[in-house]
Amino acid sequence: MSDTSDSESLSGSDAELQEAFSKGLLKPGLNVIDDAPKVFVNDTQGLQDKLSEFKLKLPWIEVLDSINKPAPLAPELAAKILEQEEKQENLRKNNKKLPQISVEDDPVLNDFKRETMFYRQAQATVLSSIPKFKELNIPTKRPEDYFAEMAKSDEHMQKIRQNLMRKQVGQERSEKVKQLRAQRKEGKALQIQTKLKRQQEKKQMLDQVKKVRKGVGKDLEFLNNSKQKGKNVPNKKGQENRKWRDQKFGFGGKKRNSKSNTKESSADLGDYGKAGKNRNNMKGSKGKTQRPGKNRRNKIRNRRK
Amino acid sequence: MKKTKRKIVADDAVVSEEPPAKKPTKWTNRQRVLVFCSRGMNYRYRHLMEDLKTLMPHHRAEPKMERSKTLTVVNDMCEIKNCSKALMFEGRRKRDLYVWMSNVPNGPSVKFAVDNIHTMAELKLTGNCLRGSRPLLSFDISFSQSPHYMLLKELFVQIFGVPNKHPKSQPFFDHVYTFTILDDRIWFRNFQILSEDGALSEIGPRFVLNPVKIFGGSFGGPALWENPKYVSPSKYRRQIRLAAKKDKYVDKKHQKLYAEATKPEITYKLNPLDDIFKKNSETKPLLKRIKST
Repeated sequence: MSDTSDSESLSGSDAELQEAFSKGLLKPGLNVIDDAPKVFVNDTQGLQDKLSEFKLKLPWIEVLDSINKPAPLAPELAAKILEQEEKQENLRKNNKKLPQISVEDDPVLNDFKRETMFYRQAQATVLSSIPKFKELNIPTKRPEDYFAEMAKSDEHMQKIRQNLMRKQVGQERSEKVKQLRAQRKEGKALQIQTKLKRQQEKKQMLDQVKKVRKGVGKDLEFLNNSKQKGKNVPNKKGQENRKWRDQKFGFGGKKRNSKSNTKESSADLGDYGKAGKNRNNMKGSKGKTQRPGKNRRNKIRNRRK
Repeated sequence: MKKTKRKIVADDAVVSEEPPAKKPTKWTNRQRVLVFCSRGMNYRYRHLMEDLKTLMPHHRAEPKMERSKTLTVVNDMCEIKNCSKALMFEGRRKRDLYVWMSNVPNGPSVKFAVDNIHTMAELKLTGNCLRGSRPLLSFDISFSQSPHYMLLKELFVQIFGVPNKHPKSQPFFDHVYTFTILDDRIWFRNFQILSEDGALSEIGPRFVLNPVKIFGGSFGGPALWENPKYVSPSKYRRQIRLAAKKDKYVDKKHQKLYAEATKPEITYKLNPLDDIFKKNSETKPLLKRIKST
């Protein structure tokens, strides 16, 4: 063993290793030296000494610190938290790509819950500190006519206000659109309902007609009833209008090639080339029957007698 | 409007309320904080520092420190500037931010890693407060429970608290700082007091301090406490990257094994007699056999 090159560097611990191996602590194979676990310093005594060394011994008004529990949850805040949770759940339901873990109870991951916790803590401090100021007769509120520089500039506050307004407007608009959509949906549902109803009525009537035909029922009153109920009579003006339009543009029948020539139309020369005497009578001869001559009329009269 | 660039006292009556001779006698807690940063900081972190400066009228500014200098130089800088506290921002890789807080000649000093930074310029933070008004300091209950948190609390009070009757401060109370311990970190928030019955709105900035180490001296000295749960941001990123890589390799291997295990024996239902009449088909000997029998 001592001949190998790497044993030189380890010669100090060689004997120890051999001993360990003989006891069965070492197993054949690659052995790795294990690092001792890192020890994290936590010098409690030192911390306390240091704290007492540099701690300020001053009245409260000089330092304004306070340690407190968060203020009780206001009911409207609780309602808001519930609302948020519902929203989150809906989001998760609708988008399967999001991680499907509920973070509602974890204040580290649930932003809203965490921020409300901080808010409540600040609230508790305000509620406990204001009476102390009152006791010491120190004004807390800035009078209306006290002007001083603020932490955020005017322009910045203007920007914030505009942003808020924009958000509000956007929300209103989206709500309006939502409402419209809902209305449209309702209208559609109503339409379908009426359509179904009409179909049903019609079917009922047809059934009854069938029954009458077969001779089972003889009551025909339902026809009148259904007509009165079901048939919506179009207004007179509309009807006339329709008639006129049908007359002008035609209704039904073949519309293709209606203007192209046919055998008849090409043969028909109209009044062209007819004798002058007949030309005037052309229309009349078609429409009216001519009165017979005097002789004929007499003959007819004699026959009747 | 209410706010103007320079401090303007509108009413003479307000001035006359406070006689000038009274002020210096009452200014007992004379803390001054040196606020500065090292070179190579991100713009976002610089904005955070500027925000803190606007909120702390008792700060002293200092140009950026060269990174080559050792941290103990800060003690001398503070002495020159007559400061008893130091708040030093240290950026690494333009990505990570560390903050040193120190009580200058004698310590202690603390190093924090800072995450989740939102500056005061963000539009969702709607509150506003007087520049230099004194904040109420609100601490979580757990700040009174373990010695290192107690020490941190005292340090925060001395650094962030605006001294009473400081000449640049305002005499009214319109904002609260909260320090809350959650997830072994310290979360900082700044709220405006809208009304005295507890209506608040947030001003900003927001940040989370992750304590790394507490030292006995100022920028040095023996370590008093170390955070066992602290993982440096770059190490954390590396872990994530490596974890992704390892998974990639293992996934690949798994896929290969799975593919082999589930490989179908018959890919397609072929009729062995289909290519009976093809010249080079293997079924020809069979045909011969059939003919011969």
